[in-house]
Amino acid sequence: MSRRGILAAAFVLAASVLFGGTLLVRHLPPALQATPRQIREMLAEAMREDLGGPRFGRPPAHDFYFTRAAYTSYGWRGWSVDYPKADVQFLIGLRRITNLNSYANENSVLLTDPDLGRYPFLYTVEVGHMAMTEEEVLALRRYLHQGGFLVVDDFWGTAEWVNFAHEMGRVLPGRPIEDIPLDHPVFRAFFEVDEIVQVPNVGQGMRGGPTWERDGYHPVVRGILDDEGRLMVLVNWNTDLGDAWEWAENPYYPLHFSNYAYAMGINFIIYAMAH
Amino acid sequence: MFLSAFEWLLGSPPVAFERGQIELLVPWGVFWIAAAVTGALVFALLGYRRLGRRLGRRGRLLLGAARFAAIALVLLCLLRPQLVLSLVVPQENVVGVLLDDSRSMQIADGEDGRPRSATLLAAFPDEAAAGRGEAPLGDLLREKFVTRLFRFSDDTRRVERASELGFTGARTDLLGGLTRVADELASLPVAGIVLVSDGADTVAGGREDDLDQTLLELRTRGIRVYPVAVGRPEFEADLELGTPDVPARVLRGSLLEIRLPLRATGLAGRTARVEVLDEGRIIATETVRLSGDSVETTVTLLAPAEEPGARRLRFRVAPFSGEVLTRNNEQSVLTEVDDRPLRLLYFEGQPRWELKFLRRAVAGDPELHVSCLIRTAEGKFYRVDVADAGELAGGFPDTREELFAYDGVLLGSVEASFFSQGQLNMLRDFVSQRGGGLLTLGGTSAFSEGGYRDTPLAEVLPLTLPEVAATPAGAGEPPVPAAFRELRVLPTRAGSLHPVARLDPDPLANEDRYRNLPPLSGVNRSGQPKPGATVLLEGLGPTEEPEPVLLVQRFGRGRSASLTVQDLWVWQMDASIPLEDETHEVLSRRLLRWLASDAPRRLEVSASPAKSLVGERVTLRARVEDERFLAVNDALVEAEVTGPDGVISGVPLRWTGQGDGEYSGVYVPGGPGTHQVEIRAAGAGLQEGSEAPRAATLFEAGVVDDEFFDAEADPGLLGRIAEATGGRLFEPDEAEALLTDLSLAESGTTVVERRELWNVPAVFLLLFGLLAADWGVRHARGLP
Repeated sequence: MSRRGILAAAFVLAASVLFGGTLLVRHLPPALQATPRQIREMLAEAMREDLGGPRFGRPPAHDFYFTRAAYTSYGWRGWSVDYPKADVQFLIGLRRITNLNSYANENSVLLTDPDLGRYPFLYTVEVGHMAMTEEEVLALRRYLHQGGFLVVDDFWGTAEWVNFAHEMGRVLPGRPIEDIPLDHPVFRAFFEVDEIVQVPNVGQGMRGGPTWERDGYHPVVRGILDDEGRLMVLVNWNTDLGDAWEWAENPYYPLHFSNYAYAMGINFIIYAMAH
Repeated sequence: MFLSAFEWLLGSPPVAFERGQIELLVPWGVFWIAAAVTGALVFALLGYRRLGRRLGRRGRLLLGAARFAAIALVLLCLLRPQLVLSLVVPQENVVGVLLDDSRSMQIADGEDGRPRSATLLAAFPDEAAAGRGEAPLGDLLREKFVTRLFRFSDDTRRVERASELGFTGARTDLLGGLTRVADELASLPVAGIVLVSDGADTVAGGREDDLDQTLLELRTRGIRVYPVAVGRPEFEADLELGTPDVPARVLRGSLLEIRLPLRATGLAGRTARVEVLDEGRIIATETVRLSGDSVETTVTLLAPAEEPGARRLRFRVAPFSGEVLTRNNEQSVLTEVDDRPLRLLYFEGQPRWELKFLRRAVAGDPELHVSCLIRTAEGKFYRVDVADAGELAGGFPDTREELFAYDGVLLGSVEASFFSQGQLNMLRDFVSQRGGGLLTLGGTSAFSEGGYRDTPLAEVLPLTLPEVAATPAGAGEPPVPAAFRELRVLPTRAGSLHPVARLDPDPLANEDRYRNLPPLSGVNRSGQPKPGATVLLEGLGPTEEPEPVLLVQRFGRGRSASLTVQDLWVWQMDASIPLEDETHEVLSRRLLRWLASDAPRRLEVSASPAKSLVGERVTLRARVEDERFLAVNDALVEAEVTGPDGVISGVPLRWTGQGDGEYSGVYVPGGPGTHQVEIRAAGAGLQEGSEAPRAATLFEAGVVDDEFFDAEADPGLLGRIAEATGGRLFEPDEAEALLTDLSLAESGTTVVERRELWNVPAVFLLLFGLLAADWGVRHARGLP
């Protein structure tokens, strides 16, 4: 092909790529066309549509709802990891072991939902990517000061901790995140827990691989206390209780991790409902 | 006027005719009298016979009658009618003079603002007055009688002269005064008793029978009482505060519920601002619109009790213009602010948010200690805030000792079948016998839904339990209760005045506070309030039919309350509630305090009267119970009374024999001021040493101010005394009349006096009148 022919072919190709590309972009899903801010808003909208919520309207007809906090995060919907299977399977155990009058299904709620206060117990995961909006920060702050209780789970390593600590600093400025010693009443509210266990994710758990992820080698239970020394936020770092609930029925998932995770979860709830 | 005219015409006052006898001196036989009368009649008729035709029948009869009457009158005078009187011998008889020495005599309701005492002193001057005008009563009495002066107020004492009176007596004991004088003069010839008083007796109330008895005795002995009433029976304008009704003990930080009676005269339509002061600090105010005359209204005041210890609360209303008596615009009352924490037990049949938020609400209240027991699974319990490892270790208490150690019990969502029959009975006794408070909360396993309908607890609850279909047993999804409904909660009228539910002193603002709160929910079928229950909050559901949400009632010695909603905590957590809002905390604390603060202790003590006079007997009463709150009759009970000067005296208290566990002893305060009483009980059934029961109370000596209350002069009572003894009620300016009455005594040393009646002006005037009439008629008709 002559040089001229090559140039003409290249031009045609470029033109059709440009034309086709333009056409393609026009027909891309909106998420790929939007600015990051628009993407966040779209996600929030999507969450609102997805959320199940209690079936009985308000106010709660049950004494307890295992409620997942839905928050804004970088890039992906971190709050919904393991949702809803982990929640529902945990609830099966909770309802069998205790006499709590609990709603049997998952229940997720936006931090900005006006009904947030109707669920004084919140569970949330993957806070390493949390990026709350200002409204969410204010709503969570108010919720915790009114007496709400937040359990955080399933985030690993230093980088995620830094992000989480930063987000909590926005919610409760000036309140340190402290280690919770094993003699704290939360560890014997229902079951006696005398060791903090690192619960691995389902893949590593079933394969029998290492229990840690990234640089999160040691499991830690920490908390944020209010002025009276009561727990407001309970943090499970470098561990994944949610997976242990979610895969408890799987014969390949080690039983002792699930047992521990159920004991911890139940203790948190009984403690939260009494303190 | 009438009386003096009567006396001038007939020569003696009416009382003389009342008490004396009329006799005829000339004892003519009946025959002669009849003959004379017939003769007079014949003469009268014959005298006009000749003139009959010119007079007519009527005129003849008229003139005949006049002439006959004149002749009959002369005939009567010839018979010498006499008034026979029994008169006291001058200076031979004694008159007891009782002078009111109480403080109510200081009230200046006389003319030109003269106090009642001035009227009394003017009537009984020390020196005989020099002849001007009418002589004072005292002088008149002294001229004719031997007078014995007595002053009386709360006690009665002889005095030489009236100027010895100080008018500082704290009470008026008319009955005591009369009895004392009658006793003292028993062996003397008594002409009567003169009682100078305003009649505002502060003691006789409730002793009516005693008073009647004493008056009857006086009458039997022929001693008449002549009361002289001083003071006005009704003030033109007056406001009086009654005795405030205040609990003897209140928990620190609580709202003290005070009921203050108000009585206004002549002030209808005006508004009064009642202030409550504690150590000079205004702690509560209430504005009242005064209604009609002398109608008593009760003002309910809520005042915070903050400082622990004995408090003297003062109440006052600024005097209105024209009020003569302003001392009764103030009142005071003693109460004890207790800082001993109340112990409550909160039992939940399952973990519930209600418990968490209630705990948080009362956490800041040092006077409330709530031990929580939560059944978290079948046979598994979680204890929170227990005092020690042993408390509630065996689950819900099953002995009286363990349960009765609490002042209040809260039952959450727990089915009746959890309890044994013994525990249910014990819970009922906890309220009725021990006097504790029971609060029942709504929930899936409460009230009818919890199967309480036919249990002993159904009696205790302030509402009836409707019948519900049995819930199907078995595991699985708990059914959403059919009765689930949202309720907008509003205060009732009673609730707006109740220390538990009153969030704002202004009823309208109070209702607004509730209106702005989010709805709560109920899952129990609504029952009806029992007749003795008070509904403080009610809820409007989808049917708009109000149903009780918070009700209270007394049950036996204790209190019972029901909160029929299941989620009061929503008032803490809802998004519409501002962070700084304290509604949930305030309501929870007040409810628990109200519930348990009246629970009696094992040793209760009281002093009566709580305001006494110096030297008056103060009875100390104690009630002693053992750990199971059963009365103990053989305990060793001793009171230590610490006077205002710090001197401690021991008073042994003995079983009264009248009621189980009741002991009493007497203490006589030697000086004015606040006296602290501490009581200790020891003996069988009462743990000795560390737990020996102790109790304290106080009373105040020398501050009785009853005299300025109900202080209008009471001529009614004085009149009654006069009537019952045959005497008469006099005004202070009727000294002469009183003396006359006294002189006509039947008792004492008397002489008989006969007073001719033929020479009294009335006879002469009558005769003259009759003859003049006779002459006049004849002259007019031109007759001879």
